[in-house]
Amino acid sequence: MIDSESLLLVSILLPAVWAIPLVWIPSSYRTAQLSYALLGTLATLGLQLAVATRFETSVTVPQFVVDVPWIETWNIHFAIGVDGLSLPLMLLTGLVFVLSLLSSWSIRENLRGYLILYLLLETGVLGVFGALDLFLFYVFWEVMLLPMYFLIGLWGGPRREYAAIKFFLYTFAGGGLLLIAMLMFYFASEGSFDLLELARIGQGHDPGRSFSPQFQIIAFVLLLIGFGVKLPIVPLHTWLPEAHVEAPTPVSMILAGVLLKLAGYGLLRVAIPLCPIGLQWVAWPMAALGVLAIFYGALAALAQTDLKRLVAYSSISHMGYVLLGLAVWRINAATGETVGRDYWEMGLNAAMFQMVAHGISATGMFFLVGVLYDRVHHRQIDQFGNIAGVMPEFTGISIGLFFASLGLPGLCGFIGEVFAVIATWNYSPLMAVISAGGVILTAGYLLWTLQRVYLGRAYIGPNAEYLVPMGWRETVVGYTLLALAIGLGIYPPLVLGLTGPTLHQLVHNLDQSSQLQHARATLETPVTVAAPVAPPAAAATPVAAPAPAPANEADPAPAIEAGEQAAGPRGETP
Amino acid sequence: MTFGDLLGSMLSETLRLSLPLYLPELLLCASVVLLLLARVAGIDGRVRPHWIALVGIALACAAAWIQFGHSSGPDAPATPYFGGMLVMNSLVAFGRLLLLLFLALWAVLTMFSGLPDHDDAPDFYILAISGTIGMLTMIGADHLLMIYFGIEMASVPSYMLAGFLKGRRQGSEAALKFVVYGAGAAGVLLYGASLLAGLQGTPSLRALSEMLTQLAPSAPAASGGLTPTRELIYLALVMVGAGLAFKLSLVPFHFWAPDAFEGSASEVGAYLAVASKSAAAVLLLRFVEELAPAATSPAEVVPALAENAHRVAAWSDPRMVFALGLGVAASISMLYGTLAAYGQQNLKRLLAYSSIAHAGFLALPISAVGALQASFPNDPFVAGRAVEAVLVYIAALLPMNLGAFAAVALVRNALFSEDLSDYRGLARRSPLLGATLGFCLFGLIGLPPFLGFFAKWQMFVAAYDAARLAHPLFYGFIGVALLATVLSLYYYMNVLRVMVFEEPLPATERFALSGWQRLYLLLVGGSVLAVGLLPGSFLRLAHDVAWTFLRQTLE
Repeated sequence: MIDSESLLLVSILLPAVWAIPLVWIPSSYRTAQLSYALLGTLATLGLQLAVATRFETSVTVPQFVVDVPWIETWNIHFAIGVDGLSLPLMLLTGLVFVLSLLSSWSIRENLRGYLILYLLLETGVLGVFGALDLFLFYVFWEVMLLPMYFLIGLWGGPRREYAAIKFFLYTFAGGGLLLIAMLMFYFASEGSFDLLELARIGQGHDPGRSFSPQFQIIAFVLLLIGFGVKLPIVPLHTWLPEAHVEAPTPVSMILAGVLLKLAGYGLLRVAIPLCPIGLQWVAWPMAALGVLAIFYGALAALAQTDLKRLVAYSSISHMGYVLLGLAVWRINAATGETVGRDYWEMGLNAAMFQMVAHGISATGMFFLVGVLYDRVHHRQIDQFGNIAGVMPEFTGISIGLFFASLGLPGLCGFIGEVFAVIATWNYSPLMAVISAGGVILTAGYLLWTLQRVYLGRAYIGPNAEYLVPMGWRETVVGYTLLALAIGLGIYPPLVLGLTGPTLHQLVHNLDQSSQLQHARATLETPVTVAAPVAPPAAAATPVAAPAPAPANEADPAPAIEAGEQAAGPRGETP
Repeated sequence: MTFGDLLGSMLSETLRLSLPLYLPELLLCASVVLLLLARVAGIDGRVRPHWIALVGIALACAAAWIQFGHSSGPDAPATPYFGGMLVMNSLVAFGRLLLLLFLALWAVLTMFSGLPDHDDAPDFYILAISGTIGMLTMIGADHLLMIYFGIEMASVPSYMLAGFLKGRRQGSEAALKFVVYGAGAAGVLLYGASLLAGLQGTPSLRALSEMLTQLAPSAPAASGGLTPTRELIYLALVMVGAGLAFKLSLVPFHFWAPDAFEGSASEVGAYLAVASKSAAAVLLLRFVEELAPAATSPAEVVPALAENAHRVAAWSDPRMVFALGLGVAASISMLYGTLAAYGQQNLKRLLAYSSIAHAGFLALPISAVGALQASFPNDPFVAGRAVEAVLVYIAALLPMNLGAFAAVALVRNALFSEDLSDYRGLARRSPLLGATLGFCLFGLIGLPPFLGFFAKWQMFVAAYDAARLAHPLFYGFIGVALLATVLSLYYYMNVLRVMVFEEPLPATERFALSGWQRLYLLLVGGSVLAVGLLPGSFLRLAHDVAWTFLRQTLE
């Protein structure tokens, strides 16, 4: 019996190693190459399922930790492990890579290169989800870029080169901000990249070290922008429609299904635990950006004439719920306690669930577009029509996945959206109302598309004779996604059971940390307030810049900020 | 002391101490002489001159390797030799090993890239080896005059190498521009050095620090305004700095670089981009280190982060001004090199601009060293990470630039072109060549897991250290470095795009690379990836060298 640690390690590194023998399979054996790669992704998924069966859901710290010193002079470790946040996303990754590979049979040119890059990409993604060391996280984060660049640029559509370099530049720039944040953490923690240790310091549970509020805000903003490029947050999203549209179908499935989740995961794994004060301070604009993304994505989707572009914009809209769910942390400014802790926990769970659900539904949507594109070689919505008449089985699956994406109760899209909206109500009813309104727009563009593409008048575009029913690989992919969409919708604990305990602990820790910060602030405040009574102590006025303006009435940052400055820049325990 | 005693002590110092330390240089000199004699004696018909050069370089490299072991040990002292003209410490030993290693790899490259034919080979190798002797003198110089000598000894052969393609107009133009700029820069440097020597009363580098300390704001004499001496010091520092910046091709002393690179053979480009710049960077680092506050004994070290650390930071401190000036020049170089590379269609010219940008990335940690040491006179170790960053960057540039220029040379041999448009579909015609060039360019961008990433990382660390401890202006430099890194992605990836995405030229036959050429590419490209994947021992080495070097400055 292999121990679980090696199982996890192997499941992450397997795809990259599996890619090496592909060099020796002659390029004329297409099916052999594809089957070999498929076997690799299946084996990876199998290993992950094996890891999952041994996973103890009630444990909130990472399990199956492998920790090997990598670069000793910098105290960098090759540390990987899984917890309730990484496991569902890892499983999603394994699944999406299998399904996308099944859709890769249409790749004609240079198949070997494609498969090698594909497998390298899988290791990169799994590495990000598994990394427990910030430096390692960053390395995997960047390692993904190169395969993705070539996958889009070599096998993509007509504007692939532009899309590929745009994707690369945006993400690389985001990565640069991540690098700066990493530097800050390293020095502020006196030489650590260990995410758990950094989280302890950030939450004020480390006796000797702490991150000052100002520091946390700067770091959080850097991380938010860095991850926000990938999520995407609306003003930083312009690479996404290009990349999704130009990428070949399987790569679009991976991009939407998995890569966008890396950003949400990054926020949950790095930004929020390490900089709780930063989150408190940025929460309002962050939630507002989430609402903006929901609306903007949906409106933009309504205007699209290209089916794939429509799906790409719908991804932006759906990922807005993730940002919203993460941001809705409401704090009582007077006591530092979290108002409605369960609601915020619900918001975090909603974000996690939405990521998995979107991983299923977006993968499915891009798959559907790919099926149509493979047949007729265009994606113009206005030329489609009455697909239901020629491809009934495909239409059935499509309707299921469309409704899952739309958020119909009983399907996977519903849970994440409704939880996010409920959690938002606690934070700001106005935002909740607006974001709930986004659901209507979503229904609008999806139903309208369903109507235009699948129903109504007959197909008028070119290549009508190629509109044949799905092959067995397509059928397998379609039904798998549909089954998962239904399964997750009916039985959400499949995901929430994994994420729940971990997030409960996270919320508990962050609440504690917020109260701790507040306590420190209030302990110091009387001294400053009672200046006339205690002249010597009050003489020490804060030197640093004045506290930033409050973002909303629930924002405790100013109080903490003032207190912290009085307590000294490093915020020693009084 | 009689004249006889003096002579005796000099002789014994030379024989016992100096000559053994000078062994690698002596071996190089011997191979130069041998190359000359072989032609006179007519045995070069039987023995390929390439082999004579290679064996000589390899022996020198081995000697340097052994000395590196001696000079970088945990308690090895810094040893001045030749009467204080040269010095041996761990940094010098490291630089020397690196330069000779590069020279050996470079000689192997020229052997099968066929740049010097049989008749030209002795001249070619004599020039390259002599230039390297000059560089070794540069990095080991402990005396203002030796700096000048070293730079001239390194430069004059480089001028000739740049014009080695005699028949080509471009080659002559390259050499001429290089000579004119070089002569000017050398003159400026010499004038600056003579000013410094006059101000401090001795041409020894060691007196620099003491003189600057007398002018420091804390010193009683320095009250208000620029005294004449202070102005002179600034003038002298700027002049010396300009001379060094020329060798490093920092903006605004970079004008020679693109033309010299484009006009000369790409092997020569590799020589200029790696050897010449590494030597200049090590020398600049040593110069900055010599400017730093006077070395105290190890007992007096007060860690910079300690409560009672005395921090000096002022605009009026010439050291800080020099460091910040260097930082500004570095930032401008990064941006200028990156932006100017955008429009380049000639690969060598593109790599020339890239090397200007990298000179900036390399100079930034050096300026961080200066700023940190100026701020904390009692803790030389505060600059440890910055020194480490310089070493890592220099070492990382070696395989990356060498690999890139080697690929350009091999493509030139096959296609007779260095234009980007002729690289279309290259990766399909020769995957190995494409992969090597790709790995080197990824490394130059600074993408993990390639070697260049750790160089960039260390550079950011050094700058961040300086920003939080020494001077907030370094935050600005970090921003510029980040911007330049992101922008540089585009033009490097553009080469990749042409090589990988575009359709091959009509002649789609594969490149005929010999087995040795393949092995060489595999070695260089593979090392960029392999050291990037497992950088532990490499970074440890740089760390040890840096710390030993700083400890040696205390003595």
